[in-house]
Amino acid sequence: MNKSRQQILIAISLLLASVAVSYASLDSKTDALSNLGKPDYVTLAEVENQIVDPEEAILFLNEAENE
Amino acid sequence: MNRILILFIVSVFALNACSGSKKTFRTRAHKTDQQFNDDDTIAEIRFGRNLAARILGKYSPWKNKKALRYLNLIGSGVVAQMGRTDLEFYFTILDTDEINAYAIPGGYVFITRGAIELMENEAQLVGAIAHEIAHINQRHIVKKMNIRGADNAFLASISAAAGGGAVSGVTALDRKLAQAIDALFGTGLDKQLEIDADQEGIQMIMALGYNWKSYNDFLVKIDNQLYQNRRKIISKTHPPIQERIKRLYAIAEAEGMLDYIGKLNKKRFNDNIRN
Repeated sequence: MNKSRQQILIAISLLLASVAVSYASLDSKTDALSNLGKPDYVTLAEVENQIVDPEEAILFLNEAENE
Repeated sequence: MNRILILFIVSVFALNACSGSKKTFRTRAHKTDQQFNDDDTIAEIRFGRNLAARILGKYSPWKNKKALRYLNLIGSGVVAQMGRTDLEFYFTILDTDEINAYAIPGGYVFITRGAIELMENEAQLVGAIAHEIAHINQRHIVKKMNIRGADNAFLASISAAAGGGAVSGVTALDRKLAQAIDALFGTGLDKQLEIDADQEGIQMIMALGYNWKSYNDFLVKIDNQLYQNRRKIISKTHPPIQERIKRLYAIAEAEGMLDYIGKLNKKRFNDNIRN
């Protein structure tokens, strides 16, 4: 194998290594997502249904407490 | 031949660096534009729903109807005073012993049962809620993740996710969700953003007539309970507790509230939380 072939092989290896590092970085980010679980849109809808009347909330917040 | 080889190697690294430099440019360009339009808000809400649904996939809401209604009454009352008018706000208690609270874009405020149980009164709850609403008001995660209505690739990925699209189609959403989760569960935001949220939060506690010093006590309690093992990590993104307290006292002094003794509503808090 002559010298120029060796150099081309080294360059290709560097390219592959660089791409692998990029994908590894992406994988670590998707790992964080999978650790958190699959989205639960049913429970989300339940949370969104808990909303209360703003006027009632304002009155509740302003009620003075006898302590 | 050697010149060609060097050129090739340089090109390889330049190509790989391209994605990073493009992202930096985009972020910088958006930082100069502080205006958010309706499309940006729609993108924020859609992103927030996805993120909130992810969190609810791990933590179930606490099945305590009285406590949940109480939180929603307090939360909606605070929102009526300080919340962004372009959002609907939602509150829930996550059933976990972990001590935390999450301000999710789009108006979702989640507080853990562990954090609620650590509180002693309503003033502390109002303080925690106001702090989280301030993060949403100031769009801290939205800015950090660069969530914009004009980002067509990102919006397309949200649609793909909602329609059960292919994995490649949801990558843009997944990447932003992962970054947001890192910010919420790991690395945090940054010191200045926490200080900004503290400032808006403490001003709201005072405006509503609550005892702001009790909220300070809660921050110290959290610091002792939660950060002992994680102090090295947290200190990178959160100001030291002494600095936060010092700044809160400075705000109280500037507002002429240093000696103000506000309400605690301890009984009402205990009746609703420890029922």
